[in-house]
Amino acid sequence: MTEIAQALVPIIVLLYLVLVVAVGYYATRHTGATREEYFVASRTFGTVVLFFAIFATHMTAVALIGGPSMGHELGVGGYGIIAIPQVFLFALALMTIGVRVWKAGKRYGHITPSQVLNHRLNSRYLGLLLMGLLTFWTVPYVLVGLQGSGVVFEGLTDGAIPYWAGSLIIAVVVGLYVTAGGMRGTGWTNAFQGAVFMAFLVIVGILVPLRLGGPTAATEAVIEQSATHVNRAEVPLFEPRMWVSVGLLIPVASVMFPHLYIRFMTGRSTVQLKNTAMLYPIAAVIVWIPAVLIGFWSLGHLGPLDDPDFALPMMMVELFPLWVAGIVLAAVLAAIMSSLDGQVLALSTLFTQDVVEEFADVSEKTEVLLGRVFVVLILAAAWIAAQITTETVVDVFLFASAGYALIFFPAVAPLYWKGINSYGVYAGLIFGFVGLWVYELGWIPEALTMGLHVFLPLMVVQVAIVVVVSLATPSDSADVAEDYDELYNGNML
Amino acid sequence: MDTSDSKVMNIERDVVYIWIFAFVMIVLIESSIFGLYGSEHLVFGWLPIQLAYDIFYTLVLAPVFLYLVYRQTPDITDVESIEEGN
Repeated sequence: MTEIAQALVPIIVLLYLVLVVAVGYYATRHTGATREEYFVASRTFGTVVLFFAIFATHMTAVALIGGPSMGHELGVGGYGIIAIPQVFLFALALMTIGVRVWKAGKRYGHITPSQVLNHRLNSRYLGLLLMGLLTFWTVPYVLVGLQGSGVVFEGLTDGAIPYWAGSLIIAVVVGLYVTAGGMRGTGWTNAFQGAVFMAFLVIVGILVPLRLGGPTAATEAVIEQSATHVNRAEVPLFEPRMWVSVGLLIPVASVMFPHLYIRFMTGRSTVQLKNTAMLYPIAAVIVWIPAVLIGFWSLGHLGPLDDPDFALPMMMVELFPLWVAGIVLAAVLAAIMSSLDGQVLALSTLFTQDVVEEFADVSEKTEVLLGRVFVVLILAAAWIAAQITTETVVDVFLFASAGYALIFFPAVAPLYWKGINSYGVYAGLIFGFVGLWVYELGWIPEALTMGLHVFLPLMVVQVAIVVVVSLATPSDSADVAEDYDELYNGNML
Repeated sequence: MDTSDSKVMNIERDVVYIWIFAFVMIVLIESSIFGLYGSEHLVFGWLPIQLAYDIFYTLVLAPVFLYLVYRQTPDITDVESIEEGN
């Protein structure tokens, strides 16, 4: 009986992967051959697809692995620090910054953040710097996505599908539907996969406490292990200054994720972006409350784990029949793939649009072909790198988030401030990148951060640098600034 | 408010209220102002009050704020006007 159940695990997962490819293939039948179609789905996404294209891409393996891990190790504060800023600040950014980005893309045909910046500031090479920074911080995410796939495959199939094969299977599946369907392929599969992992979390969020004798018994078991798990006490990450600064870091960084920024431009109109923002709080509760609570209750049921990342899989194995591991694996892979596809497509878009299209004279058809080739090359390189890396999901997530956050002000301020110029933005981008590395290498005393996450003091200095340099140097884009001002007329935010 | 001479693009008075509200929302993220930092109180006998507050923030405060912003930002459904620069 056990052998049959074990055999069912890879079968369930493979069936799920076939379904994903089928959805992606179906999307390709509606995918045209133009540049706008392949990279931004001709800007035609309705609310449902746009919501999932943004939300499912936003929710990485951190939601299904990191959420339970934080609940297990740190307690229920894990929900507040990760989810609350998203539902409020990121949703606000969608309705404000996102709408401005959408308008700029629609009016001028922009597809990437670099194209927006280059055009707004009348520059040719500023976008190249921005593209380099965005690529630098996105590559590790792609790598971690494949790494996570390998780990969960090997762990939940009891080694039947080894790490190298698991990560290869996901690279091939993602490669199939991204190369074929581009943005439309990822948008539709995001809708499917987002629905899968959200439904999974709702169901297990209800079933787990029932299996533990009810929520009261489950919580009491946790308190016997650690009373502080019900609050924020004794956790450095949850101390007030760190709590608020990490709360600001995550949404600010998220705006500059190229896989999200590009999606801001894929809606049919601004209504779809605004609707997406309104759906964020509900979606965040559906995903993060079960994720954190299952991890929280796992402390009472399993005791302290050596590696809290295994809180969710271990609870599933402990509380449910063995074959359920196949469903868990499919849900985790859904979360991983729905981010990985967006990241790979974003990197391909950056290379194609910011390098090839900007500096080489190629036809639209060649651009799309190169975009597809880049997707394959990126996945191949990431798979090879995933075989030798040792970084963890959380390591990469926090460090890269600070990197993205320090791109935010120089990249977004030109959409709001006519007086900014390319000199100020160059200075701000370079300062943010160098400043973060100087801190990371230990050349800035930690005491100078005053208990805040380092991104916040760095960002304050960065804002000052951008403003001072812009005011001290001549304007190089006054005419374009007027055009953008006219474009945003009536949009008060 | 005429912003044609302003260096800032189309920032109007209503927007200032939105940003003030946004600042209050940021402050409210910090549950310790309500004494919840070390509270062990359980709502319904099982739900930690810290998490109950965070859920309230997510499902009540955030949607109210977002709805106000939703109403302040005009819908751009006339796509042709954006494309043509009208």
